[in-house]
Amino acid sequence: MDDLQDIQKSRTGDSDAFSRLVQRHQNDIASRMWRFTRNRTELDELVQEVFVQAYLSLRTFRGEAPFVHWLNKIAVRAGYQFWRRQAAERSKNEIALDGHDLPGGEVTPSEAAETVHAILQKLEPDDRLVITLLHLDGSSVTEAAALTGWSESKVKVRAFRARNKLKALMELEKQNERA
Amino acid sequence: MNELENFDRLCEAARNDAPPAVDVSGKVIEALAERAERRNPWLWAFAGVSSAAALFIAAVAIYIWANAPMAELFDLYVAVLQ
Repeated sequence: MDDLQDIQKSRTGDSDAFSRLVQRHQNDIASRMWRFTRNRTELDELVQEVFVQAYLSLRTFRGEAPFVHWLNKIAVRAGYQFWRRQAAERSKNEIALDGHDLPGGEVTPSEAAETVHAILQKLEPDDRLVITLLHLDGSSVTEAAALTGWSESKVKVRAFRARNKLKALMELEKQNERA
Repeated sequence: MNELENFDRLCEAARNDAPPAVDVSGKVIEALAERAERRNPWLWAFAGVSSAAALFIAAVAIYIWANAPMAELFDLYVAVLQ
């Protein structure tokens, strides 16, 4: 049973078909959402939210691109909204880089991801998203534009500004450490 | 190595960070079923209002029939037929 068949069946209310779609793609979506949170419970909730949103907008899937591409767009939107909610809930001052100084030597992927996550928390959601997509995921500008729904020029401008902010932020942190 | 280069190096290393295994298929189906149930109270309310309206119309019809306001008209019709 392939995606298109399961999508057709899901549209008619076949929950087994949609369950198969979830099982087939949940790990891809979890990889994506792991960029948005490092918390296991939040990860589960976000992945769940992506599939619920996908089910509710299944009628809009036209089948022009693979289903997983369409899911990834929903995932990026859900992650971005999650960051926006987080940003609204807490002030930037509450976030500290304590214990997340840039390690200089060899680091494990998990340590590197933790550190990057802690650094990016200091950025606004838009900046954080563009850096995550371009630098952490390694997406191209075109791919990032497709995932966010932004124009390519907006992605480029936002990425340039975000990197400058990131640089300033890290230099400030370094100065604070020295002081 | 400046800070941004160090950050890029970390990003590259972080790409290989695998997420924990997830299995949300059951929860997704549950969440969708809950949403559907949440919609049901409105359907029940609509059904209730419709039934009340139908009962009212039936009661009015029975009242009119019992008082036979057009009985004379029917009597006349019956007389013509006879």
